[in-house]
Amino acid sequence: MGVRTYDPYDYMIKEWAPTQQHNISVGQTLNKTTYNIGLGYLDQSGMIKPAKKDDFTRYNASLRLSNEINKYITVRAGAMYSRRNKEYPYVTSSTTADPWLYLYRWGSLYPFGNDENGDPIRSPVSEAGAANTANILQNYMNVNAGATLNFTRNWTFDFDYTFSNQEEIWNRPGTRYTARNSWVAPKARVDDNGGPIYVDSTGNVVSATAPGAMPAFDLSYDTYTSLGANPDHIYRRTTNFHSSTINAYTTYNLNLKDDHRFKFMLGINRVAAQTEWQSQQVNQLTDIHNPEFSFAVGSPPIVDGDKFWESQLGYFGRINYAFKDKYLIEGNLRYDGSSKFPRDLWWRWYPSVSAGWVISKENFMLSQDVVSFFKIRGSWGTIGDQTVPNTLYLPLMSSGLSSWIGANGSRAVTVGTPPAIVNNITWQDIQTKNLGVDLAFFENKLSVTFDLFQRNTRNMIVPSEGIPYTFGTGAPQGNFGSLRTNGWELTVEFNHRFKNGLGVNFRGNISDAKTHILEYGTSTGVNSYYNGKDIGEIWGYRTDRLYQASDFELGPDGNPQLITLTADDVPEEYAGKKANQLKPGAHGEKPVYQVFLQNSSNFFFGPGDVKFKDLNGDGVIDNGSATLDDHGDLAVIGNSTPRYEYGFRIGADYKGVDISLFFQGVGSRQIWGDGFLAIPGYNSADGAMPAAIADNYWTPDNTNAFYPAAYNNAGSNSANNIQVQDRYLLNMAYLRLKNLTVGYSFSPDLLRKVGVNSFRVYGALENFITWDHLRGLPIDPEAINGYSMWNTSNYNLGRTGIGTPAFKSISIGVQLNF
Amino acid sequence: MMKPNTIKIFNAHGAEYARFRPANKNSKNIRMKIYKYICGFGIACMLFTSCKKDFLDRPPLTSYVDADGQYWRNEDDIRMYANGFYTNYFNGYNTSFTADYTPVRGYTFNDDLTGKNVQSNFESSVPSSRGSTSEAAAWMSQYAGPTWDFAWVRKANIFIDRMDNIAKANITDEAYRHWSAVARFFRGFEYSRLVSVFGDVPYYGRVVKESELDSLYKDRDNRGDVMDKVYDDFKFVLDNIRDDDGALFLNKTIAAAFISRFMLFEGTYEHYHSLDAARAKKYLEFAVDAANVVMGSGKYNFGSDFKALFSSENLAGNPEVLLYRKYDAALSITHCIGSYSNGTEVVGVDPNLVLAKSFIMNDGNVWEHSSEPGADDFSIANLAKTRDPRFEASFIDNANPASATLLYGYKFASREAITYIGKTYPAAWGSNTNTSDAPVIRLGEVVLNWIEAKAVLAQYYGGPSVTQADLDQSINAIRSRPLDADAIAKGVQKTAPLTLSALPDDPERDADVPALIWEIRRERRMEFVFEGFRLLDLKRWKKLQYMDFSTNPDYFLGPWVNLPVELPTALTDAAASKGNVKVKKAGGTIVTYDGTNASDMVGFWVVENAANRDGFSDKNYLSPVGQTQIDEYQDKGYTLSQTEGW
Repeated sequence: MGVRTYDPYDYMIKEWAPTQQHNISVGQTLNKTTYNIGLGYLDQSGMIKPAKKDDFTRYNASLRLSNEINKYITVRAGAMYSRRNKEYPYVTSSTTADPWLYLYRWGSLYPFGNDENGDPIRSPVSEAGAANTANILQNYMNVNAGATLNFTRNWTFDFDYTFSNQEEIWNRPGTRYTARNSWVAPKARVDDNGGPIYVDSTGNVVSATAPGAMPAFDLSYDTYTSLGANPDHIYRRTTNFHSSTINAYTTYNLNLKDDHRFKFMLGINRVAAQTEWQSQQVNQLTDIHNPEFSFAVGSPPIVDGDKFWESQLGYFGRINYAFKDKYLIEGNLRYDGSSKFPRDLWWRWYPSVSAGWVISKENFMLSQDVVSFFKIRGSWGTIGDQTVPNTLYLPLMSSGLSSWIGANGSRAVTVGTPPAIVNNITWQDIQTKNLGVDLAFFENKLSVTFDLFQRNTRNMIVPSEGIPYTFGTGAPQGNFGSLRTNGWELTVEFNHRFKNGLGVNFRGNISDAKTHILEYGTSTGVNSYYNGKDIGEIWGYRTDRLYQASDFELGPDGNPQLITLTADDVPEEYAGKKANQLKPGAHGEKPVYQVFLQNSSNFFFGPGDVKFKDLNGDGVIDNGSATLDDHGDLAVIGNSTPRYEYGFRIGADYKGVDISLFFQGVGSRQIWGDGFLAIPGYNSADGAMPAAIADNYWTPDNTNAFYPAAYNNAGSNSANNIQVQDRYLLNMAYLRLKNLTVGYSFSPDLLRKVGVNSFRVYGALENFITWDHLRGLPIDPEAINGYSMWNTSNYNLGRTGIGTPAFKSISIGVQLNF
Repeated sequence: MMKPNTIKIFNAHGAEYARFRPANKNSKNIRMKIYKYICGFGIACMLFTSCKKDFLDRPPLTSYVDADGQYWRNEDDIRMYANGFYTNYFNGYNTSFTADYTPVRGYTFNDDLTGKNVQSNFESSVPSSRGSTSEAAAWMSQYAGPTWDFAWVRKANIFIDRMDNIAKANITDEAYRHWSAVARFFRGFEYSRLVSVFGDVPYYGRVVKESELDSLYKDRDNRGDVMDKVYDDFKFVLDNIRDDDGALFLNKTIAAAFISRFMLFEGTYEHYHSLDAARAKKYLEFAVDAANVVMGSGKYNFGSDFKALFSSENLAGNPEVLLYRKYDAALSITHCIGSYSNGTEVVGVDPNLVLAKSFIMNDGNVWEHSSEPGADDFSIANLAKTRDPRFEASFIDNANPASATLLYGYKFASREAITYIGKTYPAAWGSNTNTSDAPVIRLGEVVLNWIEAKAVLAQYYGGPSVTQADLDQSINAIRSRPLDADAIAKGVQKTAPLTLSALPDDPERDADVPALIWEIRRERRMEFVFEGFRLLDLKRWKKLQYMDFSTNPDYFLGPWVNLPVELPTALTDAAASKGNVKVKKAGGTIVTYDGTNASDMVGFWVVENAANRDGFSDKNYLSPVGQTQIDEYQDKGYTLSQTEGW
């Protein structure tokens, strides 16, 4: 090896990963019996190139049967099974720093691949190659049985019972890594007598006196995973989940003179679910190539487990009334109970009503043929939400083993501190108001649907607001919050077939919703959840530009002069701080100092650094007291909620050839990034830096740069130059061609002769083109920071853009129906 | 004819709800029967689904609930809760690579140690936010204590509350008093730490509810008022805690030893910072009393050699150690403190010449006045032989390039450990797999707390004068510790006793410190190097100015070395050596290695690039609170005062 640049992408990522998928379904109705059989298979290869195995397979099978015993009774039953298996290289047990983080973390001099001895060099690639294969196997099964009873023509009763069972087995066979260790100093290569060996620049051994000869060094060939350290272990975790669900309801239809149609319904939903898991881990493998529990000797084994259960029960009644199918009214009443709340707060009533008017059925609309359907509808209702853990209302004390070893030689058992709780936690109420219009024109060729809605979440379960550190534990959760979401949604659809056989279709939808806090607490801090706050809003500074040398009073050496500010320069609280002396304004105005934003002891704003706008005109840049009344120079500079989400599909077919394009995008979204792919100078110890930053930062020779002068922020994403500000806010709006499909269907006439109903071949491209505003930063605008299948909030430390890259895929398929 | 099948339907409780016979062909009432059949089925389904009375009753399956009858039922329950405090307060060597409250790794900010380049700085500006509500919050290394965090106060207050309101009825009075004392001990411990970091802190003597905003948002209480509450807790502890609660469990002597530490800290802090003389006296007297509990117990003595205290695989039975923390590789409870003393691992800040010079000669004199040969020879080998034996037991006796000063601390590694230098270390002395037991508190500290409190009381508060017998029970008892065989073989000798009649006259002594107290402070420095007392000692003595290295050039130096002989590997052609390796001659001239002057490289080792830390001031005695917290109080209509000077 030598010092050169490496492209980790080449080493790590498989450009072509085949996927195959087969589905067969058979169904038939014989006399009064209907059956349906479905079989499916999916095999998807992953993209980690050096891995022994990286794939996902799924098998599924289903059977549905129903039989009409007589005119009164129909019975049905079914079963479904699926087996999903994800195999991947088990590189580490960590989910906050996995190979994808390290792949992007270091500079391009960081060596990958093998050295000249043919040994792998320690890197995410060597580890992914040496890692054994972990797998997550999920077996899902459900059986269901039910019946429909027809008491009379108008009165029916339905009953369905489902039992589902899922087991998940997660095997993590570890290993110990051996590689040329690039993390420690190389060792001198010596001959038999201990003398140095010399090489030339191509690595060939030469004599010490040869031109260009240099002493040879080798990276140390080490087993650098110490005994029992991650991932030198075997781990297995099994999770069992099962649930029983019953849905039963009875319906009675009543028609009076055909003008008045009533429908009455009464029913019940009942769910009980339980989850149990257990894990075992034994450290220190004796056979790293075949990690099994019998080949691991670490003592004692690490065993853990837990179980949870919950249940819900609900009763409901509904009345529908329609007058001549023009005026529609519906009323609902639910009575819901949940195990997640204290006994006296289990139950709650939830009413809802809706009404509709089909204007197109009115006589005055029948005489025209432009509008084929026109309906106005509105609804109001409340439903309960209980998606919270089962025991929030109880002060639980978890037990475990301490790292304190008792005199008897075993770890002390500890029972932890009970959390602060609010013991009257109950249902969260979601109240929705909706107003909608459905319109269709020209015999339904063009249809438009528009909805306007408001959703209030009342009694939202959130931590109590404004609890200071002196409380000594996290604020207890209770039904303290209230949110309001206002939104709208528009869908337009158009289908047309020209006389020459060309068919075109379009379907597009766009929606937007904005949520703000109705009530929570009394805080007015801009970074707290103050009442009225828009969810996702980002407070930051407005950037003016980058400072240039001409902004500063330069000393005789041509450099800015560090001075100690006095109360004449800045408000009292900043007097005594040091700053580079600024020139007064063109008309003698006092310069605006930014000492409040000098977060590192050796950082002073100078040429090439960011100049912020003094929004409140007080002659200094700061955040006031960061409250609504006094937020200094902070302003709302963006919002991380995706707004104006849209998607549209355009399709056409002609003589068996079909083509469709599906686009998806977000109209507006900003985030403040984190990590080395988004923040210039994030951490000099991490070498990697996107070219978009490395090629465009301020130097005395490149004063027009986008990014400021180089400074190491030592792992902070909001310090010194890189305060949260509009200039470096990431614009996450994008438009992506999610899918492009071209297909050809063979002529039915031809197929009938060979007993085939339809036969279509197609090719598809996924995710091939993306338009974004990220200025060349290697960040996927669709991905969410810190989220992966391993860790849903702090994956790879929540750094922006660091995760499994989005797939671009090409697929080819065949669809055959008999 | 076969008997028609009977269909029975049961509800969940097993009661029979309906019984049908399928209709036969002849029946006229098929329709009616079917109706009955259907209705029965429907009703049964409805009942089956809803009638189970406790269907929604799903209590937690795998956790205790903090409630009467479900926890706090007996002493076992209480002990399991109390166990949760141990690792937070009896850190020992902590675990794995965690540095909080550990010697060598954690306690690195003091005037004993010097690193390359600029010394780490004091905090210079108010942090934007400071604090936590987590029991797992990291310590603040620069203050050697907790951040603005009241989680442990709450934990102790819950303990006290549940003892009074639930457990009391379930256990004997003796047990109730003991466990109440344990709970109060931990509350006092936490407040002692918080006060040492922040000075004034809000005091909470009970569990505060989230609705009690006036309490939660109250301003900081005067540190003396807080420490008076701590004083009361500690008094209660000594009156009620068990003399013995089993090995490695908190008991009266262990508690008393810690109480002597905290009362000495606060008593001297109040005194030297001229805060409240009455309180100073009260706390110092308690420090003496508490130490007397330990010294009078007769359970402990100085029968162990110094090295064995810090590097033994098993401290059970060590007569000086009141409480220790066990480590066991088989339980995956290990530490890294041994490896950071193993002669190879780089710590980054290492013992400087000022510290080396402060060690007393083994004739009991300061080096300036000792008549022993080699008194002014500061080569490492000579220091090891002529200084107090703790020098040899704390530092490797030859120049070690892993140390920035060449003087390498190995107090926490065994003699065997450093035989692996240049080889592969066994797990016990490499990486984070070390298993030597950690002394948590020992008699050596107690007697030094005792003698200092007595001396300060005598000097400033009219207490009885310190007698020779007092010195013999404390400093001289320590000095008479046995030497281990290897030390004896090297010619290390015990230090002569300290006598009142012939106190050393140290030219380095601060004018405002009487000679006896100066010698007590020296004894602490020699005894506790690396152990974490130094920074807090400087703070309570109001001597933080020692951290200003501009006052003495020796701070930037290591011991005297003859590089071509002792460390020829430092003199190479490499860039790290040529132009960087420097020694300081006795006359003060600095010689820089230029590749040719190896023979001239004899002198005090100059720590590479070492420079003083930035200026600091009296505000640095205490930590500021976070600006966000101050703003938060203001936003709610309350006040949180900033620490004085910030």
